[in-house]
Amino acid sequence: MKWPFQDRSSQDRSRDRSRDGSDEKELDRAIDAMNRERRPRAVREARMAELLSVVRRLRSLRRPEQFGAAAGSLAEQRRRRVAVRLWPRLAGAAALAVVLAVGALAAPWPVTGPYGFMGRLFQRDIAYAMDRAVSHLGGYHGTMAVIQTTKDGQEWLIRKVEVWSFGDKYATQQDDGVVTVYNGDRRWQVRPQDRTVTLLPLVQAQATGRWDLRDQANQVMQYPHPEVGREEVAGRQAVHLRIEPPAGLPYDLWIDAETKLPLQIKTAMQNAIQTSWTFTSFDTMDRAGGQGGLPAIFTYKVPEGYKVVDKGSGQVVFTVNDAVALSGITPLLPTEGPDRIVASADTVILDYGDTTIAEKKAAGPFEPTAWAVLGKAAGGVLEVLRDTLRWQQGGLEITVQGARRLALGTELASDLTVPSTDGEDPSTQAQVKVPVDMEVVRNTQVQVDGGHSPWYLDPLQVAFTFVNLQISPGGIQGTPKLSYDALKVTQNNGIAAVVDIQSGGPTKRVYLKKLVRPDFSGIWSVVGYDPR
Amino acid sequence: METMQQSLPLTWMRLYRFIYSRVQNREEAEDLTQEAYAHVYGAKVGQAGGTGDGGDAGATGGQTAPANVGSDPYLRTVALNLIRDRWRRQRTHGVQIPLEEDLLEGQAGTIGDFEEDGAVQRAWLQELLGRLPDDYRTVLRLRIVEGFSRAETARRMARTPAAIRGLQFRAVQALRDLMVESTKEEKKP
Repeated sequence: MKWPFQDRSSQDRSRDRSRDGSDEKELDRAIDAMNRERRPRAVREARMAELLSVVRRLRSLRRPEQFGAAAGSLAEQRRRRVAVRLWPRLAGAAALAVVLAVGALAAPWPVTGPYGFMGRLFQRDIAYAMDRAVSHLGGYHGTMAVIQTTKDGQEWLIRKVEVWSFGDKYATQQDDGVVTVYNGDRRWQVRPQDRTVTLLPLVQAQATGRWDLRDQANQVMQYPHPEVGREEVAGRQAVHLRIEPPAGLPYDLWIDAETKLPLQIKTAMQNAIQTSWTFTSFDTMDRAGGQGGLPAIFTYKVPEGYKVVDKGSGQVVFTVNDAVALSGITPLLPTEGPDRIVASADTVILDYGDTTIAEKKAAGPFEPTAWAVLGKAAGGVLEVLRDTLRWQQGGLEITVQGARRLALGTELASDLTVPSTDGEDPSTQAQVKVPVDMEVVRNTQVQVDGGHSPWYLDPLQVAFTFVNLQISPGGIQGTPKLSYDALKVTQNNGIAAVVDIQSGGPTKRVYLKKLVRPDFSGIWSVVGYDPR
Repeated sequence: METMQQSLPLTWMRLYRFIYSRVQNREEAEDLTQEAYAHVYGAKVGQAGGTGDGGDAGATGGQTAPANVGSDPYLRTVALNLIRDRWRRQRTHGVQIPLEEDLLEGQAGTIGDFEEDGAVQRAWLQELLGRLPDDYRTVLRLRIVEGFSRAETARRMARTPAAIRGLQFRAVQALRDLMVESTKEEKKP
């Protein structure tokens, strides 16, 4: 049998690819993935598959204690997720499910430690499956429509977006012709209306801009979500789940039975309007994109007659010294080196794939977002918003976003502390308790879920309204008596908050709680206050 | 007929270690272990009706499961077929790659006693590594065997991270060439 790539011309081609660095980068990413005990990305080229098999074999030389060294973080990530019974490859074999469930109950094997995953054999994690669905695919291409439906059945198409996704690369084309692309090396937007190509910040691309519903689906998976049945969406078999948020109206999610990607989310009918995000067409990349690699949309090309606008896209550099020279700042560095470094004026971004650290020159005192959970870092305030930590340290403003934000953040600021919800409830200190009508709170939560009165999600706004109504019991007319600037959030652990009123009015301090839903979508209610 | 409850506690750890030794990452090893059990017992449950998702794994596709279903060699054969199928499917035109096949099967050509097989493999690998230049050997040890990041490897070797990326690529290529040569030698009659 002939060995592949032995002939001279193939070797030359190999060297060409090596020279432009793409093979080197691909192999480097694969080594990083395996060092983290993660599956490397799918390798399509035979030559790279050979090199990957060499790397796998080399790893067998590790000492036994290295065998599960990186497993802790992976297992920890999975433990956080909501487990759902789901056997994707055996959906039809109900009898087997019974056997497995019985086996799980009786099994004597350990459920923690390096082999603890066997417990999860019986509790497939659907959110985890969604996360990994794309890595199982070469990629996919689909068209997503945002549709609003009225109570009498009339439908309006609000927006339509064509989506290509290939690993961490993605591209979207909106119905107004605007194309946004991230191809791993750069991120850009083509606007036919202005005849411009705008180069966008490189690393932000990984955190935002996706249209594939995974973020939304992962968010809703923390709520109870019984399976309703199996239906067809975009011509594909989908599992229909009913999402039941606490104190909210149930709504629906459809997950592709084959790829585990969410295909459709449909809100409850609220105020006679229902909104849905639906893939009207969906195909895996092999079928949609052909077998020749990435579709042409991922190739950076400036159309003739278009001008290029650079909005701080940053530049990939290979050493910290280069980053310092380009940015003019000296970034703080964790022990672990990043996959790549991107630098621009006053900013350095360390990209770890699943997590990014952005460090930029601090511009003035630190002002946390009013609705953020507050912790401590570098002797000051830490802002916690969903999967992002932000604080100031040594003249720099540091933002860490992604799965390993706590581990990497703690390396930069050893005192970094995210507030616990297990501590004492600050509202027990309130001198005056405010009675709460839970029926009103639940109804308000439903309204906020429907997009109304979003200020209930901000403890500062809720406290602001409360104290001004104390000053003007008949209702706030015109400009409120008390300035918004007089209020400051002094504690917020995500479910209980304290707002101090620094001057004016009869109230010195307001105590708030999330009474019906302890997450980012839960509304705040005033439960007590201290008179001045 | 042996049941899942009887077989699983006895075999799962050995099967997981067998798969891990081939794929060398926990994520893939966990998936494949699960798939292997699903495949074997899916087929057994399916004997009265469907067979679950048979794929190309072959060993479990029939309507009558062999008597040794659930034994180590049977599970390992299923696992190897699943690994092969998975890797081939990722590839353009699903081509077979001889070196990958050889490394997957094990140099000793056995899937029975993989511990012994592993010892032979390691000795063979050490011998090949000994033929590489020092800097190639060092970068492979630090980056792949020890598992250091590129930046840390760069620091230890007093080079830039970009230089390490190029060096490790050339080192893996060189080792691959030695492996190909060595395997061809062994296959000569």
